[in-house]
Parts: sequence; structure tokens; C-alpha cells
Amino acid sequence: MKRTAIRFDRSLINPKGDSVRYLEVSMDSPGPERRSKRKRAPMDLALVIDRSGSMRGEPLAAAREAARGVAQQLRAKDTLSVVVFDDCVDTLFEGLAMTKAGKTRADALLAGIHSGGMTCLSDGWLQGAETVAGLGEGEDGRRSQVILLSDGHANQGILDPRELAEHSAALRERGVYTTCVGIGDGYSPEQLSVLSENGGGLLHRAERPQEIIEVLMGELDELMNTYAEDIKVDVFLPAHGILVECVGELPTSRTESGVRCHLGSIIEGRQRHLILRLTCPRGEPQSSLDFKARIVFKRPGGSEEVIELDPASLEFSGSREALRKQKRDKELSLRVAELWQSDVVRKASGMNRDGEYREASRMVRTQLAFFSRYCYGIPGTSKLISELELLQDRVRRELSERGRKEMHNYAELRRYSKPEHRVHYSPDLDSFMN
Amino acid sequence: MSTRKYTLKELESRTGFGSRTIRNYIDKGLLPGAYSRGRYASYGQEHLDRLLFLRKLKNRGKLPLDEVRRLLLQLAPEKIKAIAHGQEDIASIASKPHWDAPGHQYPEDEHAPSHEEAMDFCSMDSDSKPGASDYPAPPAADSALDYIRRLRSPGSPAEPGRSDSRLRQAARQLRQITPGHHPPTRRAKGEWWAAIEVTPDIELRARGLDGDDLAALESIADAFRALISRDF
Repeated sequence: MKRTAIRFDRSLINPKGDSVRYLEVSMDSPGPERRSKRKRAPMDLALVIDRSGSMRGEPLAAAREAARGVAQQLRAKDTLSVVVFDDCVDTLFEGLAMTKAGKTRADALLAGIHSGGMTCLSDGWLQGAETVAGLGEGEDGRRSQVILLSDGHANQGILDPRELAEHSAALRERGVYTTCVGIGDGYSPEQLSVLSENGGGLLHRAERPQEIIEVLMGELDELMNTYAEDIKVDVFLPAHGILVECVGELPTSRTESGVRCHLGSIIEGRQRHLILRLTCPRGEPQSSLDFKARIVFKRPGGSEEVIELDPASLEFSGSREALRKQKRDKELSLRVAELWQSDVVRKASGMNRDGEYREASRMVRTQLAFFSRYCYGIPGTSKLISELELLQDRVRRELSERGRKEMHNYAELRRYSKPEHRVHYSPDLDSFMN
Repeated sequence: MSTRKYTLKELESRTGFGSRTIRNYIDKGLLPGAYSRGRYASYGQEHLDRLLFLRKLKNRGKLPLDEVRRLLLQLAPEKIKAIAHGQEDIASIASKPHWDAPGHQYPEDEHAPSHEEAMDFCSMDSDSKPGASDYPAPPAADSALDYIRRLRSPGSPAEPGRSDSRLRQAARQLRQITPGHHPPTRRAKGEWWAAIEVTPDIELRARGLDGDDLAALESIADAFRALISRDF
């Protein structure tokens, strides 16, 4: 682990209170060049494929192709299960070891997927989870993963996103992880994003059939190269009266002495950041607030590990001049700005979907006022500001469903520092808003 | 008590909330339904008071929906009215941490987003995103397989003893009895209403239920009782 540390964008704060500072906890993982020294944990993977009527034709064919591609990538120690669902759930095959013979058999069985009726997403997902949970039971060191592909809005089974979130989090705690791929423009981002976010994964978007294959293969590649999963960052607060907000709205809970944020997973050679916005209390000049943090994570198929980070401090400034002239960490400030902007984008797209056009525009305008002030003097932020200015104008009317989903996807990828798996994709907010 | 009636437009102009937001609040149980339906639906003083109260609450920062509901349940209508019309300070019911921190205010010279209409980035607030607050799952005492099997076995909640799971279970049962979300209809004369006491101050009332349906409602009352007596 390198460059894993706590940092602040600025280190001096006002003794009169209410200074706002950004705390970053970053985590690095070793690069793939060291991969050969480690063995990847065997994986029990369940692909859960929506075969409802709307998937008929190209999308289902692409999902089938993608499943074949996944089978080819897995190793002999891995197993693959495929569950298909509409208003009924069928397990096409379960726990097939990905040996040569297994791959051939999977290939033949996958030809038997045909489209059907309604969308009973929860039953399909639970069937997939049960399959991999059963395979991993009693065997340490295996990773249990469900990848759910759906293009629709669940209309049977468990529909309440809060309930789906609860079960997905419970399964993640028990070692079964969920990632989702939303296909086309008709899927429910609420249902799929809570499943993946609480399940330790991410909601990916595939607009065209070919992208299903790209996204699924990209996701598989990430799963195979996961360095750590179920990453939790505990930040210990030094005093009462510190207001803490998580920029990026990562799942966060209060603990006795601070907050715990869930970061999901990290891929080899990548870096993850947690950014907290702190509003500080009053204090004596020259005294300081010392922040401690630790990172708790699991290696795939392994046990829990803990990294205690060196503390970092905010100092109550002795003079107004020093407070005003202090230097800021521009690199970190840019990351804050990017994450802040993606929060506004996600929130605006959600409000637009709910028909709150005027409110969305007002919200963007209010945020923009603070955002542009924060960005003053930070290289690379002028584009972010102009995008928000455009957003303020565009959310006054109904955006296309495609545009809203792309905006949501744009924000999600930033939030989890994940790459886009689609090959012909450009994260251009301007085009999403047209 | 004022008997003044308001139209939706009047509520909009007096409170600054849009009509969709007001309807949404009604759907979420923060406001009672309109007194009459249709184009000329009318609303009363209680609607106005609650909306002004919600406006003040919103201006202080975002609160989880559950907590807002709990506040509305706990506070007497007179208190809501007093806060709504500025006779009492909203800080007197501060329930969000840091509200009561001495001198807590966003100054002009800092980069904090104003909580006046600002979006709240705090994912500890469950209202902003479904399921976010549920993320920190309880420590797993059983295996994933046990959990799923229990969840999938009919009539048994995944987390035994958890009142919100029981509430959902009962709510699902009730939803099956009364399929679809239909708007309230007018009362029919001589219709029998079942009333189940949750606490001395709260009761659930429903019509058209008997036998198993009534038992489902009683389960909801039990779970609801357990839920509001829990320390949030």
C-alpha cells in the first residue's frame, strides 16, 4: 500500500468557528506488475439475466454472447451459474466448473435462453445469490459474486428500493457481492443502484447490445483484479460540534467516535478517495484538531485487514492574515470540485426525473454560487463550472431518459473512481443534456 | 381553530413549495390528504401550518424522512403552528447533530453551501437516496445461505425481531389485499371502520377489512408501535 494517507485541502482554520475544510482519505493499491506474486481467489460467479419481454431480440442475444465471453475468461477453479428470470426464475446451470468441458457445456446451455414475460428482479437476484452462497458455503477463500443484467423496472417480488438495499447489504456482510448492468433506457436506476451500491458493486450502464458485452467483460476484468473489497474508512473526530458531510454521498454511518464510510472495492494499481466536508467548531488560537483514521478491508477470499493512518491536524490560526494567505492543496481541491460537481449532476438528474424542474434549476444555481467560489484559482475547474451553468439552464425542462441515465452514470463513475467499460463512450455532459 | 380553506395554488404561493412537492408530501404521509378531490381540491389550516413548518425544517438542513415523520408525530399541532408562524424558534426542536453546536452558522466568507435550499451531501440522511441508510448492515450472525433461505421462506422475515422488517412484511400482506395504489375515496354512509390503537395518541383506522386482513393491520400496528418506541 502506498500513498495511503489523510490530507486536508487547507490546514488553518478560524478560531471563531465555522471554517469549512475538506478531509481526504486516500487509499492506493499495488499495481498489476506485482500480480504474479499473488494468486487470484477462485470465484463463484452467478450471472442473473433478465429475459422479460422487453429483452427480446438483440439485447438478449448480446447478454447471451456476453455470458459466453465471461465463461471463456474464467479459470478452471472458478464456477459459473446462470439464472434467468421473468415472472418465473430458472437456473440454467449452477456451479459449473470452468474447465474446458464446463465451458463447452455452458456454451450449449446458454443457447437455451428465450425471452418471456414480466420482471421479477428480486427473485432472480436472490436465486443467483443463493446459488453462489451455496457453492461458497464451508469453503474459505472463494469469492461469491452476482452480476445482474436487466433492462426493466421490477414489477413483481420485492419492489421497495429500501428493502432491496437492506437485503443486498445483509448479503454483502455475509460475503455475497452484487454488481448490476442496466440495459437501455428503461431500467430502474433506483432498484439497480441500491442493489449494487449496497452489494459492494456498481451500477453500470449499457445502452446498446454491443455495450452489454463490453461492460460485462470490463466488469469481469475488474473482479479478477480486485485488490481489496468491502473497504470501510473510519474517521475519528477530535471534538464535538464538527459537522461532517460525505462529498459523493458514499454510504456513511455514524459511529461512537466519528463516522464510517463504505468505499466498495479497489482494483490493482488504482487509487480511491474519500472526501469529507468538515465544518469546524470554535477553538483557541494555535491549538489544533487532530484527526485519525483507519481503513478496514478484505482481500478477495481472505480475511479482514486494517491500516491505521497517521493523524493529520487542522490548526486554529493565530492571525486573520495567515488564515487568508494560507496555501491550498490544488490537486486535492480539484478532486473535491469534481466530486462536488458530480453530486450536483446526479441530484439534478433525479429531480428532473421527478418533474421538479424549477427546484432542480434553483438547486444548481445555489450550488453553483458556492462551487464557483470554491473553484477560484484551481486549474481545471472552469469546464466544471460551465457544465453546471449549462445544467442550470437545461434542467428547467424535461431531459430525455437517456440523458438522465447518462448523467447518473457519469456521477456514479466519479463517485467510485471507476472507469467506463464502454468502448465508444465519451463522458460529455453537454451531449447528455441535449 | 381556523376553518379557512386553501386551494393548491394558494398553498404553493404561501409556502413556496411546488404542487408536486405538496402532493409528494401527502403521499409520504407528512401531510393529510386534501379535504376534497378534483380540480378544486381544498386544503385547510393544518396543511398550511405543516408546510410552513416543513419549510423551516428544510431551511435548517436536510433530515431523513423518517425523522421528519417522527417529529410531526411527536409535536403537538399548536407547537407546529407556533414554529410555522415564527412564534417559536425551530432550534427548540433541534434533533440533528450539530444544530445545537454553539454558534453554528455558515459564515459568508467560507465555501460552505448554504443550507438555505442547498443540497445536502450527507449520505447519513436516508431521504436523499433510497437505501443509503440501510447500508451499514448489522453484523452477520448467520451465513448468506441461511439469510436467503429465511428471506425466501413464506411468512418469515429475514431479520427476526426487527420491527421494520415485520412492518414491511405486514405492509406487503396488506398491499396484496388492497392491490394498487388508489386515491382515497369518499366515505360511504354507515361504513364500518376498524380502529387499532398504536399508542394512546395514535390509532390506525381502516375500512373494508376483516379476518386475516384485520390481523395484517394489527401486525402493522404492533410493528409501528415497536418502531416509534425505538430510540432513533
